[in-house]
Amino acid sequence: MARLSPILVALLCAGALPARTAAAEEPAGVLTRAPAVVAPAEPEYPPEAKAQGRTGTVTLELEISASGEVTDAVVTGPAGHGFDEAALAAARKLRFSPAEIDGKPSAVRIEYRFDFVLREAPPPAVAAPPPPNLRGRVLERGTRLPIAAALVQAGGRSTYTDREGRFALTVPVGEVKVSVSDAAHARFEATESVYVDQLTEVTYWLRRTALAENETVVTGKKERREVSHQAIAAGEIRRIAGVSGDTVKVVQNLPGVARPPFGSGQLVVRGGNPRDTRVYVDGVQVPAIFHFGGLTSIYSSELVKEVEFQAGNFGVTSGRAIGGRVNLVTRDPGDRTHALADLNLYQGTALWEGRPGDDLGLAVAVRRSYVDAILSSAPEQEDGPGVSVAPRFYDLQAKAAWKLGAADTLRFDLFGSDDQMVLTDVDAGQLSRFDELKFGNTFFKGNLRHEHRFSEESRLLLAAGGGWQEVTARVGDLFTETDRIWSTTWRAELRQRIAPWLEIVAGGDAEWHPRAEVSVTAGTLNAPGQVGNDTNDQLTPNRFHVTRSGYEAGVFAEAAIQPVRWLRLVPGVRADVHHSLRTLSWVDPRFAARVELGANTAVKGGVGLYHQAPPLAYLTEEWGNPALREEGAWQYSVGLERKLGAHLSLDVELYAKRLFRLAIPSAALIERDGQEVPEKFRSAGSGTAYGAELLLRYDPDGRYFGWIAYSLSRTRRDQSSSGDTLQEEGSAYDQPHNLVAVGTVELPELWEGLSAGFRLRFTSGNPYERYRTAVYDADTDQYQPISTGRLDSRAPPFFQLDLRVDKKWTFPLWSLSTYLEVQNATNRQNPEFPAYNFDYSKQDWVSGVGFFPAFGVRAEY
Amino acid sequence: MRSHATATLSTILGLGLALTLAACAPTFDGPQEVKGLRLLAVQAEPPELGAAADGDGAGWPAAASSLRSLVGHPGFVADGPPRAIVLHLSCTPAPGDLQAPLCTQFAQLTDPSGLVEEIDTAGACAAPGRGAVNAITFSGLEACDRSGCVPFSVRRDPDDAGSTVALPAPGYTLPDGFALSSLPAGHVQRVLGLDVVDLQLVLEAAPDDVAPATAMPDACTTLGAVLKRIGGLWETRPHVVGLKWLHVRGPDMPAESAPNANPVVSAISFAGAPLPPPGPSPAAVTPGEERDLLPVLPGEFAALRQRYQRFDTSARYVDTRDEEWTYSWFTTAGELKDARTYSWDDAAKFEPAAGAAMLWLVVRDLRGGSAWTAAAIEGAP
Repeated sequence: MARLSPILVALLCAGALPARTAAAEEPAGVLTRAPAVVAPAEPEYPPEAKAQGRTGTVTLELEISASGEVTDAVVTGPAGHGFDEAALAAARKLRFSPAEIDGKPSAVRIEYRFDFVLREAPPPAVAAPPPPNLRGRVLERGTRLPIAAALVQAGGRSTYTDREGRFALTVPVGEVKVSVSDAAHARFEATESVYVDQLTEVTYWLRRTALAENETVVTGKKERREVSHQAIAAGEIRRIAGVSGDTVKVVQNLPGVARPPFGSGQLVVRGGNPRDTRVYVDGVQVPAIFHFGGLTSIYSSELVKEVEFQAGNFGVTSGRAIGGRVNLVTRDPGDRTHALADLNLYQGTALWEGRPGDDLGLAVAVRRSYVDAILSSAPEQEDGPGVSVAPRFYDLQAKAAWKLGAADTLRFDLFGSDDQMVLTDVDAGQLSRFDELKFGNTFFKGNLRHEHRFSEESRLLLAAGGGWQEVTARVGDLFTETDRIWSTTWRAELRQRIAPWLEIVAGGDAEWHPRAEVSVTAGTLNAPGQVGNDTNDQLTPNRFHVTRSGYEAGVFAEAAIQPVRWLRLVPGVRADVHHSLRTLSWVDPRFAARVELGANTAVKGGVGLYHQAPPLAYLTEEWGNPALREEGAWQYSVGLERKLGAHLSLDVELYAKRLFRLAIPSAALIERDGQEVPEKFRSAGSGTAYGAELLLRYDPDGRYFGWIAYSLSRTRRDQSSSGDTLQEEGSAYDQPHNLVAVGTVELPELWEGLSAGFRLRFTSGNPYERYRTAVYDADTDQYQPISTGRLDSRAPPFFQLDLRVDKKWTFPLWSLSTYLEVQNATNRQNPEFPAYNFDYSKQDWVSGVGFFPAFGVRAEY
Repeated sequence: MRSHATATLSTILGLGLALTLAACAPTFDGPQEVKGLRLLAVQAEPPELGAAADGDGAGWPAAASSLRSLVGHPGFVADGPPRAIVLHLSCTPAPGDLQAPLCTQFAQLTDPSGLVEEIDTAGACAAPGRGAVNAITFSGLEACDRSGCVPFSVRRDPDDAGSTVALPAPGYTLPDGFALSSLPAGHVQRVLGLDVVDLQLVLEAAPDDVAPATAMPDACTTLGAVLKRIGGLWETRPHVVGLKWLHVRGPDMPAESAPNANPVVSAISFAGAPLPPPGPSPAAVTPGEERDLLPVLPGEFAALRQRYQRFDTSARYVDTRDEEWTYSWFTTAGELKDARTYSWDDAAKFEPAAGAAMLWLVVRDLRGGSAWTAAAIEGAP
C-alpha cells in the first residue's frame, strides 16, 4: 500500500529570505520567529502515479499571512504526474504559527516541499495509539535557540518540532535510528535505545549551516519608500576581510563611497564633503561615528540590527544634509540570554543580554581599547613625546525593550563614547614645541522611543532623548577648544495607510540645545592667496566664546502612491529651520519613483532638493562670516535593479548633484556694522558631482557570499581657494574609479566551521596641489608653500588585498571563534599623502600601512 | 551648535596616531643641512618700530630699523668673495587697512622679479628704505660671504675701477606722517599695531654679477641697473624668497609691555668650549665623534629674556608671558641630529665630518627678534 510522506523542508533559515522576498510590500527586517506548521495537510497521492509506482518531490513557494494563513502557493520545483496539483491543494490547507519580523507578526514567503513516497501500508489499527516513548527537544548548537519545524524521523515515524523545538514520537522498542533535518542546519543522526514502558528523553544540538537570525543587515540606499534597496546580511559581514567585524566600516565598501584617506575615518559619499553626510543611531545624530579617525565605530556591532545607508536621494524623513545618510538601527535585546567576549589586537568587547520578563529584554555592551596599555609598555623614545594619557577609547551601550502589549513597544537606549589622548612636549617640526597635544571627545545619548500600532494600517512613533558632549582639544598655544553641549532630540512620525494604493507618512524631528558652551582659541585663517603671519597666531590669538541655546527642526510629509502594482510614486516635502549664530530656513521638495518591469527587473529614479547649514565655525565673526546662507544641492538619480538568479543580483545607478551656495573662503573686505572687515567666507561656491554605481551581489547561500562594487565618480568645485580653510573642501574628494570586491566562502569540507574571505580594493588617487615654490618666513624659520589653490596633480592609485580566515568551534552551550586577518597581503606601499622636504623643493609620499597581520578571538554563550 | 572643529581635530589626531603606529613617511634632508643657497635668518634692529607721531620718550621704539640677513651656502666653508646678493623690498600697509600687502600675495611671490620692476628707482635713491603706504619700497642690498652679509659697492662704469658706488644698506623707515594714533578710539591696531613686510630676494650671485654692464651716469642709475640685473638673473640662478614681519607698535599698547628687543648670543659651545667666529684658522674637531652643541649667552637667560603682554585679535588682554627662545642649528657638513633646540641648556647633538664645515646658530624670541653666531670648524683626526 502506498503511503504518503509530506516533508516540510524550508522555513528558511534566515532573515535574509523573507526580508528579500517581501521587500516590495514590507519593510526590510530580521526574521525573529520562523513560522511553524500548526495544522499539517497531507496531499492526496495521485492514483495514476501510485498505480505506476511513481514517486516525486514538489517544491513550492508559500506566501504566509501575518496570521499564519497560506495566501498564495506557487510550484517552483514541479514533479509532474499529478504531484504538483496535489501538492498545491494540500499546501493551501496548511496553517502556520505567525512569523515575526523585528518581533512583529509579519507576512513572509517560505520554501516548502512535499515528498511523495510509496511505502508499505501500516498494519491495521487494533487499538488506541500508544503514548509517545521518544520525546525530545531540538536546539541550535552555540546559541541554544529552539529549532522550530525541524523534521524528526525515527523508527518509521516522523513529526515536526514545535515553536519550542519540542517533539514526541511513538517508536518501536529497541535500537532506533533518529534523524533530524532542517534546511538551516546540518542533518543530525543518532541511535537511541527505547525500552518497554519507558520514556526516552533526548536533546539534540544541530549545527547551523546557513545564516542565523538576528544578524545585522547593512542596507545600501535603503528606505522603506526609497526607490532603491540593497541588503547585505551582516553575519557574513563579521567575516569580511579588512573591516575587523565592524558593520559600519562595511559601508565604506559600498558603491558611492570613496575610499577615505588612511586613518581619517571619513565618509566621503558621492564626491561630497564628509560633513555633507549625517550619521545617526536610531535616528539620533551622533557627533562621531568612529573612534580616533576611523579605527572602529562607536557602537558595538553586536547590537546593530541594520545599517541604513543612502548615498543620495534619501526621503524627506531625514534632512539638513546635502550628501548622504547613515543610520545605525539597533536591535531589540534579550531574544535569549546571551553573553560574549571579543578580543582583538587593539580592543576588547563584552556584551550581556537577557530577558528578565516575558515582555522585557535588556542588553549591556562595553568596549575599551588597550592601545594605551600597549604604548605604555613600549620603551619610551629618547626624543619622542611624553605620553600623559595614551590614546584610548571606551564606548558603552545599554538597551531595554518593553513589549507593553500587542500594539505598543517602548525602547530605551543609552549609549556613549569617550576618546582621550594627551601627549606632552611634542616636537612637530614647528619653531616651538607643543607643550601639550590633547584631544578628548566624550558624549552620551539617551533616547526613549514609543511605537504604537493603532492598526495594521496605522503606526505612530514618538521619540525623545537627551545627551551631553564635551570636546577638549589643545595643540600647544596654537589651538585650544573646549565645548560643552547639552542636547535634546525629538521625533514624531505617523504612518497611515489611507487606501490600498496610498500611504502617508508625516511628522517632525528636532534637535534642541538648551545650553552650549563653545570656547576656541586659534590663529587667524590666512586669506586665500596670501602668506600669513604665523608668529601672530600665538602672539595675537583669536578667541571665541559663546554660551547660548540653539536648535534645528524640521517637519515632513510624504506619500507612497501605488496606482498599479508595477508603479510606485513617492512625492514628499520637508521644511527645516536652523538657529545657532544665524537663523536659516528652507523647504526641500523630493520625489522618487519605481517601476517594476516583470518579476526580476525594476527601474527607479529620484530628484530632490537638499539643504544644510554651514558649520558653526564658518558662522563666527572670528573665522567665518555670520551672513552665510544655507548650502544647497539638487540631487538626481536613475537606476536599474535586475535579479540575475537565485542569489545573484545587479544594481546600477546613475546620479548627478548640482551644488550651490557653498561656503568658500574669501579674500574680500566687506562692511559689517559700519566697519570694514575681512569677509573670510562667502556663500558663493558651486560645483557638480556625477557618476555611476554598480553593485553585483551574490546573496548568502550558506556557502558563498560577496559583492563587487564599482563607482565612477567625478566631482568638481567651480572655485579654487588657496588660503587656509577650516575644513578641506571640494574637489579634493574627486576619486573617479573605486572598485571593491568582497567575498567569503565556507569550507566545512576542510574543517567544520572554517571560512575564508578576501577584500580587494582599487581606487584612483585623490587630487592634490603639488607645491612648487615656497617662501621662507624668517620669523618662524619655516617655509610656507605658495599655493595656487588648483588641484593640479593626482595621487597614484590605491590597491590593497586583504585576506581573512575564520574558524568557529560550536559547542552545545557556547561557541568559540577566532580569526586571522592579513591586511595589505601584497605589502604594497600605497601613497596616502604628499610629503615635502623643508623648503618644498622635493616631494614624496607618506604611505599607508604595509603587510599587517591581526587576529582576534571571540567566545559566545 | 555642534563644533565642527571636532571632526577635523579627530581626523588630524587619528591620522597622526595612525601614522605614528603604522604608516611610513619619506626621509628628506633636514633643514639643518645647508646643501645649497639658504636664507637662515633676517634681523631687524630694533625688531619693533614705533611711529614718531604715536609716542616718544625713552621707552618708545625708533621709527627706523636696520636690516641684516644671514645666508648659508656650502661654499662658505672656504674664505672667498661674496656668493649671494640679498635685495630687500618692503610693503607698508596703511593704518586701519585690512587689505593684504603685495609682498604677501602668492601671485607676487611666485615671480617676485615682477616686484623689482615696480620699484620707484628715483624714490629709492632719494630715500632708500623709506616706506610708502600701499607701495613697494626698495630697502637696501647686501652681499654675503662666510662672515655674513654686508652692504656692498659696484662699479658705476665697468671699465673704471675708481667708479665704485656704495649701494644703499638694508634698512626700513616708516613713512613720513605715518601714525596709528590717527585711528579712531577702540580700533584694534591702536593696541595691536600692524606689521610691515620686509621681503628678501636672495640670489646666488657675486656683486660683479649684478653690476652695470655699461657705464652709468650716476649712483641712482647704477642702482636701477643693479636692480634690473637682479631681476634678469632671477630665473637663471638659484634663489630664495624670504620675508620678515616688522612690527609697528600700537600707541595704546601698555608701557608695561616693553618694545621688543633682539635676543643675544655670543658663540657656539662645542663639547663645552666656545668656537671662535669664522676666520683664517677654523677650530679643529675630531670627526666621527658625537658632541654637544650649546648656545653661549652673554648672561643669565632669565635676565636676558623679556616679559611681554599678549592681546587677542579684539585687543583684549590675554596674559603676560616671559619669552622662550628657540635655537636653530645649521651646518654644511657632519651630522647635526637636531635642527632645533628649545632651551639654552638643551644640547644639539653633532657629529663632525672630516674636512671643513660651517656652523650657524640662530636664536629667535618667537616675537620677531633674532640673533645669530657662526663658527668654522675643520674635522681632522
